[in-house]
Amino acid sequence: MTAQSLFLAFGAILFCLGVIGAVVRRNMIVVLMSIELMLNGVNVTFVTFSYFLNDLVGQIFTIFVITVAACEAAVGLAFLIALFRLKPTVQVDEINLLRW
Amino acid sequence: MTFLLLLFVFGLGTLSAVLTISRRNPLHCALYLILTLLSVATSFLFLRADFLAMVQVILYAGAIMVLIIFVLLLTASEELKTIPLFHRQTPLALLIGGGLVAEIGYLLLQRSPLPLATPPAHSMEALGKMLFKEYGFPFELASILLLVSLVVTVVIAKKEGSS
Repeated sequence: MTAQSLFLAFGAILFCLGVIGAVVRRNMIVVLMSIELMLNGVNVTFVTFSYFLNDLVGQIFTIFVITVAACEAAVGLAFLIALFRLKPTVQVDEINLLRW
Repeated sequence: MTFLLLLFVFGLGTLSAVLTISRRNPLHCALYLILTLLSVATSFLFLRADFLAMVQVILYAGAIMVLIIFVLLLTASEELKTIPLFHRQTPLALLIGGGLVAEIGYLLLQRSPLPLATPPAHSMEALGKMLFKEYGFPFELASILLLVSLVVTVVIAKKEGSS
């Protein structure tokens, strides 16, 4: 077990836990947090390869991923506030206005 | 010694990630997520990505989590305590998630580790030069993205009818 595979395993574990959380949980805010978890797993993998391949592109990509994550969190939470005003719930199952 | 420290950080991060997706109270989830983000920042430090570690602490554990906790408090309701934590699709979802874990684990175990050529000397200066020279256009696009999401956030979250 090298240090490299430890880092990669950590990133993979974070990503998989994020996937499971996003699919399993009903609370919309927790789903958003699970997406943050997934993005962090990807970031760990990026930076690991950046270190072991001696290439800075991985870190550049991580900066962009963090930017997109910030935008995603802000817009997602704004949607949540707007939805909460319409129907006071944060449960994913309750929000079915557009369901056919 | 470093290896033990690494194991400790990864164990802490994994444990708090598990607690993030399994606690009932969303506020506890958010606090455990902060712990996970800080352990990710520590792993960035191990990989000599100092700038990213700082960005991780300030932007993720600071700004984004404050935003999330703020919205949590704004949308706090009593229904959280009565509804069941998981729904009926949970076994299927866990099956799919477990399949993903198995797949990634298999790929990780199968692949031989990369050879470490030279110990990289990544500095913040090199990162900045690369970001502004070779990745100048994506950088500008990111600024446009931030601007658009700022406007969208204000417009969407604004009360209907108020000017």
